[in-house]
Amino acid sequence: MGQESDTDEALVSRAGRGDRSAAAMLVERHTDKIYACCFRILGGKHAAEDAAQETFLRLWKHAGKWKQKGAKFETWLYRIAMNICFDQLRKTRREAPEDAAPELVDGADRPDQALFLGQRRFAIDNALSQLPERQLLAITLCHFQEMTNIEAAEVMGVSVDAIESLLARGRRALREQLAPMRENLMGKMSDETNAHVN
Amino acid sequence: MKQMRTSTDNFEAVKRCFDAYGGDITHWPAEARERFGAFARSDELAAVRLEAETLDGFLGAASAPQVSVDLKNRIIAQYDAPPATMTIRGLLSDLFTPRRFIPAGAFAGIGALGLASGILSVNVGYAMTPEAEAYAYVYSDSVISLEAFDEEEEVQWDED
Repeated sequence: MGQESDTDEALVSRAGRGDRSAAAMLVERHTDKIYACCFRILGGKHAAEDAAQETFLRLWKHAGKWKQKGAKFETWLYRIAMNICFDQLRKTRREAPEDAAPELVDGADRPDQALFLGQRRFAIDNALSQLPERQLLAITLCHFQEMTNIEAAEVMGVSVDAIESLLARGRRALREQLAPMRENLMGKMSDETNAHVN
Repeated sequence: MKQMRTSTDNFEAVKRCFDAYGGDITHWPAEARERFGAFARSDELAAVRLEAETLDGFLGAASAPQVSVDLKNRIIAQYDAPPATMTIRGLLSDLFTPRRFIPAGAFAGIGALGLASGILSVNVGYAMTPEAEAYAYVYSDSVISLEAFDEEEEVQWDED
């Protein structure tokens, strides 16, 4: 495992020739990222799972013919996932954040803290889900997936300047959406910090 | 006047970086980091930096989607290995990747043993005991009988 010869490109080639272990390694390596990205775009677990599954189904279908033409394998895989997500969004609206109600967050020291963390998460997920698709995708790729602006630009097929603009507009929109509850969230965040310190 | 404009330009450029890439300067593109890093950490930009860091904190508190093992299993299960269409280049590449040296060597060894055994059997021949000869006769006889039986099955019956 983890040999230098196990590049994504080599694994796709082997998977295309029927090597099941190569396919399994690709799944192990990329499912988390692809699923997380689909989850951000589609806003729900079930839709994200379907999209991730469909992404790999298309990968298996094309693995035998796949040839590297400039873009890295991962970029290509993200593009497939994004196309599936946006097709899905054209058919149906984005899912509301999970269960459309705040949940208690595991790992908090006190019940009120768990409730606060759940409410904060809900508010932020909700604000993200209100963003226009391309702004959400830019933030997802650069912030959550930790891609560089160049990698994100490749996935989205736009210029680096366009990515920068989408990120700035997206973050501004988030700030505006969260502004009404900002003081409350900030105050609670301070309480939370104090509780940990004490 | 020109210096003032440069300062304003820099301020705007750094603000754009905070707006787009957030308060953590290590996440900025390398060029922006090198060019504006020191200025971005200055007191002059403290308010802009704090604003960006606050939003980073909110984003960090968003849901962290977790992939289930079940999803991975389902994805692997839907992998339908295509029929082997082995090319000569693919075969050579497969045989000579480091992980394949051992099986390739084993195949080569078995082939060499088979060849050596064939050559020896032709040259040396077998000395058979009377008992072995008898078994060989029965075996060859039964094969002949079976062949004969098969031929009988193929006989065309006369028409009534």
